[in-house]
Amino acid sequence: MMMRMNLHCELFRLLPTLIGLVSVLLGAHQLASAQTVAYTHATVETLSSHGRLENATILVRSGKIVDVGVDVKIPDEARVVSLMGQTVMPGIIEPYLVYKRTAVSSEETETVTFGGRSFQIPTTRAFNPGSFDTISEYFYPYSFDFLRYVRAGVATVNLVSDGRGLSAFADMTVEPSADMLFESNGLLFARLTNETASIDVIRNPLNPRPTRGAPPTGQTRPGAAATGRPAGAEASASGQGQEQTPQSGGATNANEAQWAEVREGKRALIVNANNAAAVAHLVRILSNQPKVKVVLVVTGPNVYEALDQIKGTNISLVLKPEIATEPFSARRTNVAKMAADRNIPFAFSLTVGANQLENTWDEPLFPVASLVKTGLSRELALAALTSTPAKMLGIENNYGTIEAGKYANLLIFQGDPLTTGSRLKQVIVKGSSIYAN
Amino acid sequence: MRIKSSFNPVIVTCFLIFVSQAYLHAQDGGRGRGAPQPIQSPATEQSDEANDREKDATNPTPKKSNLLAIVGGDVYTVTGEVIRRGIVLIENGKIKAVGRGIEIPHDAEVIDASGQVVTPGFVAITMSNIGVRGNVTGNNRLEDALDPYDRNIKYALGVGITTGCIELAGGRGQGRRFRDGEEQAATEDVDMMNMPKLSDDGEPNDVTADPNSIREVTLDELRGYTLRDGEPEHRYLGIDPEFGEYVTESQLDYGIENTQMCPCCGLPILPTEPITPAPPSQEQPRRFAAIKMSYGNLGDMLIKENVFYSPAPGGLTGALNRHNWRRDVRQAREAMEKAAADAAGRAQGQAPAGGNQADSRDAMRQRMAAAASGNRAGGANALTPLLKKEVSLRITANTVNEIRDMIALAEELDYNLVIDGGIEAWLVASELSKTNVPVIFTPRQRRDPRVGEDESSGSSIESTGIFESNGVGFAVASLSPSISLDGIAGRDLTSLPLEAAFAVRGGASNNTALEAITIVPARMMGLQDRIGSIEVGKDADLLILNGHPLDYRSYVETAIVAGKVCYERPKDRVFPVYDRR
Repeated sequence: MMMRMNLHCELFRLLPTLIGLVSVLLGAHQLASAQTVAYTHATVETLSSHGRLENATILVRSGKIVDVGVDVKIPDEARVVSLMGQTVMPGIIEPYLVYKRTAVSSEETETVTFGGRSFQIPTTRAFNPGSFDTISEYFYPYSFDFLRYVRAGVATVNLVSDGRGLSAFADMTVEPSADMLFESNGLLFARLTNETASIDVIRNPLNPRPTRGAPPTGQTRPGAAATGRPAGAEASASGQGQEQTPQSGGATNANEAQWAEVREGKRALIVNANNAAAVAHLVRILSNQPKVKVVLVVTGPNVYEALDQIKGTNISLVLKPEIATEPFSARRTNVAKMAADRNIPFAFSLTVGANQLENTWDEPLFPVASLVKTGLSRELALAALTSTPAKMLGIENNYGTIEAGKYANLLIFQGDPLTTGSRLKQVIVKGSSIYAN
Repeated sequence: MRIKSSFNPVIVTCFLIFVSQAYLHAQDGGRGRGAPQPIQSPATEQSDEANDREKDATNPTPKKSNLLAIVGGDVYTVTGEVIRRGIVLIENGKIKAVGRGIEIPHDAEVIDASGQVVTPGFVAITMSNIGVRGNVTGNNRLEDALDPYDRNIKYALGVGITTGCIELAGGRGQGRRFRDGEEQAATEDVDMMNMPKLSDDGEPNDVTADPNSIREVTLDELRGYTLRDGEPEHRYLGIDPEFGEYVTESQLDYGIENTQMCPCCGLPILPTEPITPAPPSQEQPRRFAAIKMSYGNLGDMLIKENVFYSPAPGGLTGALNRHNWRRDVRQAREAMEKAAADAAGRAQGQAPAGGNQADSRDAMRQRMAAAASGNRAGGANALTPLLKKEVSLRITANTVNEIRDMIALAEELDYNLVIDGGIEAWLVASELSKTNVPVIFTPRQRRDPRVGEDESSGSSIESTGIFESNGVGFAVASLSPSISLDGIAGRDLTSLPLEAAFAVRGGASNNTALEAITIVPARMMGLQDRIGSIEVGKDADLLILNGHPLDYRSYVETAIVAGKVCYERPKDRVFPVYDRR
């Protein structure tokens, strides 16, 4: 008993020393990330103009790539990591990670009367645009399983909800923390179905009507000055307008700055449309908006039918990497290849499908590989995971390729990333390893 | 790897140039051969003109014309005669020329229809929500709910339907029976499994009312024949195949002869009710819209909203309803005339004194009156197109009395009428003809005559023949307005041409039956200037069939909607693809 007490006392006495030791170790870790690391003898998919480099060296310092190439001079102080036989590609950028799901149940019922009797039949509820989700405002990373995405090689994400709102960009880390967000003012996003309530969420801000609804800030209604009505009448009139379109009016006011940039084409608008009809309506909305750039997340089964309408517009696609089945038939389609044939830019979202990541444990790019096997070009497929989504999010200056000056977001695969059995060995984000397999 | 070449580079280059030139030349020639030859109609001459056209073609033409020519088929124009081996020329979605001896421009795309039949696209006058996703109610507008990729559009095109008159809100072919509050009140926890069931002695199991107040009725009485010994006697509420009608609770309660079924809505009229019963349904007008089956082409889909003014079935039956209707029409007409007079006054520059205020007060009064009269179409304004005869009043009427009542009302209040149903219309054909009232008719619909009125009620197999000989226009509707390939094959929209063929069986001519699914429904909707026949200036909604349009063996090979090919039988695989011998 006494001995035990002594031991405890001893431990308490040692505590400051232990803390000091740990802090020194952490400092060493910090030091390590500042240190130059040379990944040598690697096959590198740079995704830049250099393409694929064999037996190349990547020089990383302070979280950034210093140099890439076959004949890079390795500094004396650099720590050398040999990646003989392994392949390095840029970290995957996930353009549409649904961070928040609004509880929308499809288990609604409807009462119908038939022959004087009433029956309850299942039905789908009318579209509810929901609240405007500013992701950065309620970002709470500790209850969210980021690890399953890290395991798939996802290094950078665009966080959205399944409704509408303003997204935020985040880098993956070893432990989730609030510092993951590096851009809280991301892109506007909305879900689109072919219902008036849903279409208005996009249509009204894109075509601001000065005479109806809430007037955009800093803009006066032309009719108001002419008639000289008192301010009270003006307010009540606009109040009525808001009653008619409550959601869209509010959103227009709150995010007018972002919508103005969307109208100017300075930033993209993310739209999630789950069927070809919604895509047709989107194309119709955009027909008089030549500047607006749209990133269209398409997951529905018959979306491939609308590709011909998308061709030639400012719409780029986010696709689920899978061999899809045409509805009402047994025919298989490779939608990514169809988009590539029509010169429509596209990115892949590994997380869009339910449980897809679990199905492809350790080989996250297996579905992409199957698309490549069935005709999609390999370069486009890899770009759709890295450089294309970087351009969509507007972060291509720092992300998306392995080039000098960009962040060292690297995936190290056992072999070729698009070969069955080639495991993802390590995920490096901003120079530090966040996952090793 | 390097190839050591001993060739002179100049020679190699020359050779390469030669090869590429030859290749290009061959390609050009190939394109010339592969292109559809400009087909010469008998009346025009080849030679000089062809050369001219080639010269024209070499000139750079910046404006790309959108020309399509259907060549060589027998063209059933419907409103005119059949043109054997005719040509239909389409430009920018409209019919530019029809006939023989039409010169086909060099840049036109040509579809060879030789040996086949060209008809206008069919018009389904009754169609459930095809091409529409979700319910078009409340704030949800039709133009936003359109779905140009609805698979059912392909099925509709597969049988030749290029335009449909869809009913909005619910899409079950019936308007909602209850206002929101009433619907809640009427809700019972009844499902298919716990419906009242008859026991073997012919009584409902769950009669909760006082048994003395209910006349006892046996199954024999109910069904009109005696059961054989040992025959199972399980009867349920709902559709009874032997009975041929819906068996309702009141029929079980009161017996068949005491329970008259409302012919328009199928609800029972109980003997305790007054002679002019209150309408069984709320008077919310049904909303119809004309939708084009332009697959994948959102812009051309919506032709017209509110193609009819349509009170709910029974909405104009009974003294009170008729009183309200007359008042509504009178008020709407007064408002219309006042608006016209005001407009004329404004045109003359005399603003009516205090006109705005009086107007708004009148309008408010009318709105209140309309609201009090049962929420009819949001006030008198909805009636304006009807009174201007821009749309017709479409109402379900099946018995002789109902049809006569509707005709009399239409004559009195001066609007166009379309009778929907018309099972007994054959008995009043001359009156329909005199007043120029068309009928939406389903030739295969049957109804037994009422007891004691064997000669003057019920359906007739000769209805369509009687219509034609009396000059009554009729449109053919299918038995079911939906497309449901699994359940009621032969009765749904995919057999619309067959339903028209049954009109021929009833005595109508081929052309009348074809009119009944093309120009007559188009006229009913006021769209006769756009669809329903092959005439110059109309929309290019055309079918190419491999036989007569009313033949059960015929398939639609190609369907063209708004000038674009929207359906090809081999490609779309809606119907089996094989060559019949």
